[in-house]
Amino acid sequence: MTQVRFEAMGCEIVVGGASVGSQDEIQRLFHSRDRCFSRFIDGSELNRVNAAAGRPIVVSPLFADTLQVALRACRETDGLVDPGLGAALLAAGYDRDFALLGGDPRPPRPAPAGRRPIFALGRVVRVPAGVQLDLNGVVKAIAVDDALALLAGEGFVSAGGDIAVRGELTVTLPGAGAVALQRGALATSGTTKRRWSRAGEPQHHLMDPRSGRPVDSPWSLVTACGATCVAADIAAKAGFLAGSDGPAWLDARGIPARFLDRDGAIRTNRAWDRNLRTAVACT
Amino acid sequence: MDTENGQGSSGRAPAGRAAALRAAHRRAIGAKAGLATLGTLVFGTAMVFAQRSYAGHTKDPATALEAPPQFVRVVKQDLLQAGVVGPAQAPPGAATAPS
Repeated sequence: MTQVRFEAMGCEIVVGGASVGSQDEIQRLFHSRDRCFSRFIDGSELNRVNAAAGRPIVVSPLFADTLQVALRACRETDGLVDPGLGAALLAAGYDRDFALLGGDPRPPRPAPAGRRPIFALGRVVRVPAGVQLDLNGVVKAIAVDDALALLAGEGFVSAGGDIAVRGELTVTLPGAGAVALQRGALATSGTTKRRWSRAGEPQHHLMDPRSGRPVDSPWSLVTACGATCVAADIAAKAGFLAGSDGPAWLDARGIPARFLDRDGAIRTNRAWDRNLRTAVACT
Repeated sequence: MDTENGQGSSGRAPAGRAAALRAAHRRAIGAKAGLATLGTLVFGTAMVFAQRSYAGHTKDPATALEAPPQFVRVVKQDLLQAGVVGPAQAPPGAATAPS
């Protein structure tokens, strides 16, 4: 299967099975989404919306649709995966492109208080004053799903390790081992990559919506399998943010997931085990 | 007089007969109409009954075999749907990792 690699959204994109025409189209798709939703590109639509916090603003159809997905994800995860945590990320020090982040002697700023509702009706959006949107995870996952739809036949799209397939693909898992992704997508969330320090205190990008601080989770990485990359990405984040309840939380929704704890021990939930057992029984 | 009476009687008799014939004609028409109506009703009833009871007839308007629209709407709105994984059968083609 032919593969093409390029950089976008601060990570490596790998596309397998794309024709030359669809390769170009997929590259354009990722770069245009990056320009629209990046917190670190001046003039991005996300920054325009965040700058207008406190008053209503008309957004593009793409932005409105993406925000609707993020708000639905927030509802379906009982508020765990919250798109309104951009200010918390800034307070923790994630205020520039991750490649430029280093150790900073300044302590993190106090976490922004409370959760306030984001208003979105059609293309009209109002972000409450003091709230900043961060749609990065959802944007990347939607881009992967949209890119996969551009493939004519079997293939896959991976963005920084979030993988969606058409057909079957063997995927290496964090820690050790591999699994056949037979339908849907696999996404991994964790704190082993996007971490930095403030005044010697470790920080990462997965924010606890209750405290507005980087979450203290027993897991270092959570991999989830969803019907789409959006589903997999949201499930992996929710599994991580739910802490020790993560396996049961995802089991209640039938999402297969695999957890790597801080000591490197691997744990899987019942849905994951059931998937593997069923596949063995059918072969 | 007799002749006149006879003539008078015979003149009234055809008139009475004609009236009786008209009345009989009306009754016959009424009876025919009644029979036709009854026949139509019986035929219609038999048709409907046949349609409702004979297995080869469609009894209700055709509907698509699909889940109720409310159920479909709720399921489609659900973002968190599971994919499928299985044991690896081939060398890895990609890796999942945090981004």
